[in-house]
Amino acid sequence: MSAVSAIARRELRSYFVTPVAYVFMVIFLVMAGVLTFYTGDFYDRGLADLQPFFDMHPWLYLVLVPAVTMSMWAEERASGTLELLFSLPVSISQAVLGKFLAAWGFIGICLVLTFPIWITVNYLGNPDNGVVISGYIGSWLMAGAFLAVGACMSTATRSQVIAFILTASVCFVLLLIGQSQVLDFFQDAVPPKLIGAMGQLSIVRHANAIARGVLDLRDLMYFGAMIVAWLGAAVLVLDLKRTR
Amino acid sequence: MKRLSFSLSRANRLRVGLAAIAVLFMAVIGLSSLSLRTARVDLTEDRIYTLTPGTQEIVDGLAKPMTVTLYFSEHATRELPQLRSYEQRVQEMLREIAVRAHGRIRFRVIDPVPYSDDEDAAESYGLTPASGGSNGERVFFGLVGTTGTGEAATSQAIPFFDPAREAFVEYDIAKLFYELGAPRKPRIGVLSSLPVEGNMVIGEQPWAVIRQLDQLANVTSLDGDTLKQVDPSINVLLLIHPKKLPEDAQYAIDQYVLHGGHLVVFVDPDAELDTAPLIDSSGTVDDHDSDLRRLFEAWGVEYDPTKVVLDRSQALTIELNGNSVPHPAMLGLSMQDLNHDDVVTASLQRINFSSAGFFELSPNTKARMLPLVQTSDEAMVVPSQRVRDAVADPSTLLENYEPSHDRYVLAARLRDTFHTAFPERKGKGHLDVAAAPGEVILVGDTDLLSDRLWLDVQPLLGQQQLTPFANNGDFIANIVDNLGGSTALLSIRGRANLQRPFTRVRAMQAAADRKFIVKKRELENELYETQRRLAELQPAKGSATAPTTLTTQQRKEVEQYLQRKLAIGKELRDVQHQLNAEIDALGMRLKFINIVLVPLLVAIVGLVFGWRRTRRVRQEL
Repeated sequence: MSAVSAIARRELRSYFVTPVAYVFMVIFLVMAGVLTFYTGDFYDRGLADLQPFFDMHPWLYLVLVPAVTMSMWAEERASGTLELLFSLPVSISQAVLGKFLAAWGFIGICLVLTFPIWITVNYLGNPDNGVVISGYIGSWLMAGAFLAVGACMSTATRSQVIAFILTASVCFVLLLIGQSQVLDFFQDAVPPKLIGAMGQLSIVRHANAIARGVLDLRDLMYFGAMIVAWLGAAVLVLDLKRTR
Repeated sequence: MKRLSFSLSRANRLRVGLAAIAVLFMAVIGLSSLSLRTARVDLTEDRIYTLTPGTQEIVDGLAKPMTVTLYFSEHATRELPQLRSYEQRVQEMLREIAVRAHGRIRFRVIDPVPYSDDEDAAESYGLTPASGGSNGERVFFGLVGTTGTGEAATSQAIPFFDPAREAFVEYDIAKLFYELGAPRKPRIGVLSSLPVEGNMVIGEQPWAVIRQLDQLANVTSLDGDTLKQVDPSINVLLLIHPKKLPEDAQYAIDQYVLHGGHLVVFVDPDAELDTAPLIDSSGTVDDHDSDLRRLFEAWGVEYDPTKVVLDRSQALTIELNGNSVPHPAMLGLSMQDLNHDDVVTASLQRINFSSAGFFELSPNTKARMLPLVQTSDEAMVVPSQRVRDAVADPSTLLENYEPSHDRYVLAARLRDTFHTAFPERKGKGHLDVAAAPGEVILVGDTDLLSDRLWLDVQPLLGQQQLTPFANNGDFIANIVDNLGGSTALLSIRGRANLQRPFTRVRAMQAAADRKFIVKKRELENELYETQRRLAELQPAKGSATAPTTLTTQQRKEVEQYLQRKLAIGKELRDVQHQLNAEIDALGMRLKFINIVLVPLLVAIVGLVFGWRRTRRVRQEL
């Protein structure tokens, strides 16, 4: 476990060595603010909750998470440092987990930096802060699921651009899968049980369920399973590349 | 051979591994959705997604298996996100109830698509669709609970989950389960010194309130003169106008309450339907008032049977000698006067009272009084004799009217662990203190029960057509419904208001509105004055006496006033524009902090770190 935390800490530090992390954070914060206030109509709707803020997060992550993960493994492979990493006394799964935790921590820092919106909503009214905390947990878990997808996609290619596109595409499918318009589209062609199962796979549905203020074990299991599955796939792909 | 197996395992390793991960993932999701339904932490402030102990008690007590079907028009509500999210909450609650019932409740959801058997079934159970769905489709959103099969099957329904009653959704659902599990009607005892039961001998019908209660419950009349003990099987006791009630009857009521019985007391400082003569043959004066002094004192309630509450802002208008006159003792209390957090009054629009008394808590009591109906703060208290004297001309009640700026409680729930009013009595089964906290509902008027205050009676085809114009009947029905259920049902309260507005912005809006009104009035007065002055200065058209030409001085003055008139118009428009300027400015500040300030600080921190790092690297070189 110490190997995992050592990798995570080293990776997290490396984010802040270059200006990329700061640029990313600035874009994230500006976009979150703009989408909340203008697209989500936060101020004019006059309700003391952060629904417009959290509603925008899936779409924000769709663009920004692939940007974080695209270089996670693809760059290591392209620059040849992957072999160097594997020569160190760490297992592949430790390396995958360490890098993932660093990225997740980074997104966590970005989320923490959105604290002015929390102060704002408390200044304007009396929000249910339990629901707000729950919303942050849901958002962070969703980011974790997207990051795991990105980690996996990054292992599959040497090109960062392709890694970006693959991650964005898979995350887009995960976002769309539970939308009522998509389910309606399949309604006539697919048995109702399958429609129900498709709904269960929807990342937005689970994140929204948490954002209501309820931490349900089913939703936590979904995100846990999602992260473990995609990181497991990343380990498999890397293992295969190494033995080749 | 060895080489082949090696290459095969390597080639398939990824595929098999990925397939295994996918299968495991689906299995985990599938299993968790089936078996982990109740494992959750509710982080909301009011625990709105957690069943209250009352609901759990009702569900645990269900003896018979039952099926509940939620009819929800999935397709028709595609463009109604608020209703869909409410449906999600209802569904979650029903699922959790079903899981807690350990197989005794079967839950299913049906989408009654137009022209289907499901739609017919929904309507046959009494569900009422709302209009306004996608493409004008009707929206079903109701619940049907059934128990038993074939001929013995019984059902109960919630016709439509009204979003306005969202705070009471758990109560409504729990009530459905309770009534389905215990289909016996509650027993209600009525002890009254008013002719509420009518008089069959002279063909007088019972009051509509009692007729309505007959449908809801099994009503038993009690005689105050002979009452020694209230039958414990009586779920709710209505005590109407307790006048000269013998001590034994009072003791019986006292012990009924202490043993957990549910009591509703209607007292009145001036019962207009009291048929007793004001002065009888022996010269005894009867003021038509009632009280329950001894019990009230023991319960910590203060009530004065000689005082009536007037409220000029809620006065009903009555017809008197062909004229419409406001009657400040006859009150039409509307939504702002009714408690919206209590299930009894939450969905009522208006209750009419006449010459009502009011309740207060004694200074040293531990009891809690939860008002159900209150006056406005324009009310005042007068002796009941003054109201009786004003029968011929109620406008005299408005003379020397001085509002006390208090809101008087006309009906309330009283909660406490009650103590007996008869500590000297020590019979069998006597209780000095109630074993558990109890509730009594107090109403300071009996006239509200009479037909004339809430029903319009029209003859129709030889029958009487009754049209309610106030919710007095619903108020009584709700009280009985609420108290007649189980204690568990009584414990399920409405949740706090779910909508949380921007209180700061609202306060600013109200202040801006006030400022605007004051300024507008000032400007309008000035405008009126200017126009009047202008009219004076300008010669009237066609007037023979008016001068046809203006002096230079007058012309100058007219011009000045015209300019002032234009300026006032502009100022008014400016004030209108500035109305929300403060609110908009706050919005802009908040946008700046959230969108610009924090990202700017992050950028500065990044630049400082970058600069220090570059400097260090340069120094190292």
